[in-house]
Amino acid sequence: MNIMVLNPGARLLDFALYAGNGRLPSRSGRIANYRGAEMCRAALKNVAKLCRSGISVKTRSLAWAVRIPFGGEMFARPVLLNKKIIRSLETLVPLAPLHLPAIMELLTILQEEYAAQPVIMVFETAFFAALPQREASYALNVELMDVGALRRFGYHGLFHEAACAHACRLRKVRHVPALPRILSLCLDPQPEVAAVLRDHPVMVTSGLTPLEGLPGQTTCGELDPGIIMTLSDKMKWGPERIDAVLTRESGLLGLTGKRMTLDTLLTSGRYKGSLAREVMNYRLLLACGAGIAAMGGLNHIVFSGRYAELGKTLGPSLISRLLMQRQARSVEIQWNCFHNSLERIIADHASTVLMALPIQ
Amino acid sequence: MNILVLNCGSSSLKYRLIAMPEEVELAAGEAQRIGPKTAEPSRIVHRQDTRESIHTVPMASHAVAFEQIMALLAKHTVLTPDAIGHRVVHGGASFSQPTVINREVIGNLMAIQGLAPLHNPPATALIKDCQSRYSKLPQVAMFDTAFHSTIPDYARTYALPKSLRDDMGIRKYGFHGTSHQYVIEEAARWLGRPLDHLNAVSCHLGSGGASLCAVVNGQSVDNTMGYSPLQGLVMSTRCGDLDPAVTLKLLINAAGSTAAVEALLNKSSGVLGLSGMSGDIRDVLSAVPKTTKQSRRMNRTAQVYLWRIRKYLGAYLAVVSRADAIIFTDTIGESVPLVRWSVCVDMEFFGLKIDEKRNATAMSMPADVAADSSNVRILVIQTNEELAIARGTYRTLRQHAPSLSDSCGGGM
Repeated sequence: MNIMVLNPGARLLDFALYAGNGRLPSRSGRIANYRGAEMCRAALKNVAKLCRSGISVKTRSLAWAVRIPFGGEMFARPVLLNKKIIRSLETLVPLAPLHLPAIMELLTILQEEYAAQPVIMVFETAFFAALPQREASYALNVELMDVGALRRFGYHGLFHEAACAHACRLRKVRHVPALPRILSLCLDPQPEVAAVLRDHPVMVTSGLTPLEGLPGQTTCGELDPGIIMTLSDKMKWGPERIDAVLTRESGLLGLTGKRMTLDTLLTSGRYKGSLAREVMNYRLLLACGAGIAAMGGLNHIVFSGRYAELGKTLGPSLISRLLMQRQARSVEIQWNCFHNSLERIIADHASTVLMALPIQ
Repeated sequence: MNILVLNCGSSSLKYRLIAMPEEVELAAGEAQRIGPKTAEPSRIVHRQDTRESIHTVPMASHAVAFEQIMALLAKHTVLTPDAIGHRVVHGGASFSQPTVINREVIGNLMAIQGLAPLHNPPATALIKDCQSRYSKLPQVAMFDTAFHSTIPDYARTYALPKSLRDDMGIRKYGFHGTSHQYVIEEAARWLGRPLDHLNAVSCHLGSGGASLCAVVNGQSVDNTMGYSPLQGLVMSTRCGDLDPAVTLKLLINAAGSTAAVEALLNKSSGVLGLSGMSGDIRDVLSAVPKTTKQSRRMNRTAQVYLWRIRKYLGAYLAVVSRADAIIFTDTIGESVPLVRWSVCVDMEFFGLKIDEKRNATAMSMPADVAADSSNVRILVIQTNEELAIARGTYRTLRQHAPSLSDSCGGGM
């Protein structure tokens, strides 16, 4: 089965066609501005056309896999799209008003235009749906507020899940004990650390949104709530202006004054000893320490995301820093980098769902 | 030298008269319900020679309360202060040391009042009042933020645009410094280690505010509180860490009213917000819920409260690398063994092993509740912020006016 992965963003629609098990897609690309029914219909038509040229004549069958950034607590695993599922997803729109409306539209058009082809919805939040309450909860009285569900959902669940499963397979090959305590570092433009007991996450740095936690390329990361009050009071900024500063002008951009990627910051000699690199390394260390406390120990560190390769330098340095703990020196900690792209991971999820379908 | 320590709250004024350098308490007490009339009358609970007396007296302001306290002390000649030590919550970027009060200092204090709008204004007003009424009495201000002035740039910097960080002084300041410094010094003494060789994590767990402090070579290198006391641990009524998007969402919901959001996050959140019953974690831990829903809520409150401490403990243990000690202090840290147990158990990775029996039975302080095999000592030390302020005041006056600090009693 060929799988066309769709990753709908705020304005852009990324797509990648997987015709087999290879790490790289046979076709991939990006469509600018797919929002609105007509634009979306045209975008999907283009994708389908490109797709046809990428599939061999022998294997014409196609399935669609769509990345859904938010599935709340309702969707804890990938599901096959049907009308009932669309209705359920619709109830989540108030919780993710920026993302879900466009996705609902895309799903509806897929159903209308490509009814014969299965559509699998793969949720970014599924991995963290069962995050323990102690980690997921904020210390707020939600009954006093009319703001809906406020909890930690994590952000890179798909990367963490796939990277940890890969780490477990590696460890199984090496005959290492069954319940590994894994620190999963997703090194992406919005990096995230999760603590995972084999396949069960117990801690994650991002919160309700990826604004919380580690600084991103333009996002602020952890912030004292009092700072937002000060920006509102003293600068007389409204919530939209504050949001714009925190999401688009902060993070590595705010620290260095330049647009840059995480790998440039952490590897370029130019930034050696810079405040921004020190801040990033320090925040990563704090997150790792918190994760180890959450799991009660550490066996494995896995790096994933667009800059997973950074793990080759971060892995040894983090481990040597963590092993400075007197007791920990007797512990063997392994690490590895997991290089699969998000689209490949989504295609794998879709394959699993398709394989479970009754043969027609 | 008798030092009168004043700890100014928003509606209270705690005081303690301490003879230095002997560190002997001569009198102590608290003026309560200062300000507008409340259901109960304003009063001063005064303690002297193990006797406690209650004086009901109208106190419309901290200045009046201070005047009444001085009148109570004046009844005994041995209780005459020679100097005053003030606790000031926020020292901003200007004050990183205990500072002798003068006109210029007062001006600088006025300029940073906005950094701690609940605490700094009454303390500054009291300092001004003391200065005008008792101009010959030397005064020293001790800042809760001062101990954290050693936090390195990479730990105190938020990932915000430089203009905001520089122009608005947005950075981590840290709080509870006086308490952290006191217990760190006591721990060094107890362990027989030079202070400048001590690595530790200090856990100030109060019934109100709470923070953890990472200490390397006796100096603060991080604190869970940040720009304001809102960040970090789950506290009695403060929320602690929060996704910035949540704060923005609340701001939108409150139609942009920062006062409403500030009140919500400072006064209705934390343990109180989670439990809906009490802001005191001891009430939550000992509650006997009547319904399953209540039981679930109490359980969740306790879990969230403990979990946040545990995560920060792990984070700071990773930062200090080779910790000599974990120190628990203040009301909850000193008196609730379950809290210490829950955050220290299964932390062998960090060389930490708590002894269940020692922890459960620790009554007198200081106490070490770690197992013999633990590489890191787990200490329970009673904090004494007033004594720390008296020590700081004494040291500062010795440096600045040695003749003053050598005098003994009646120097007013």
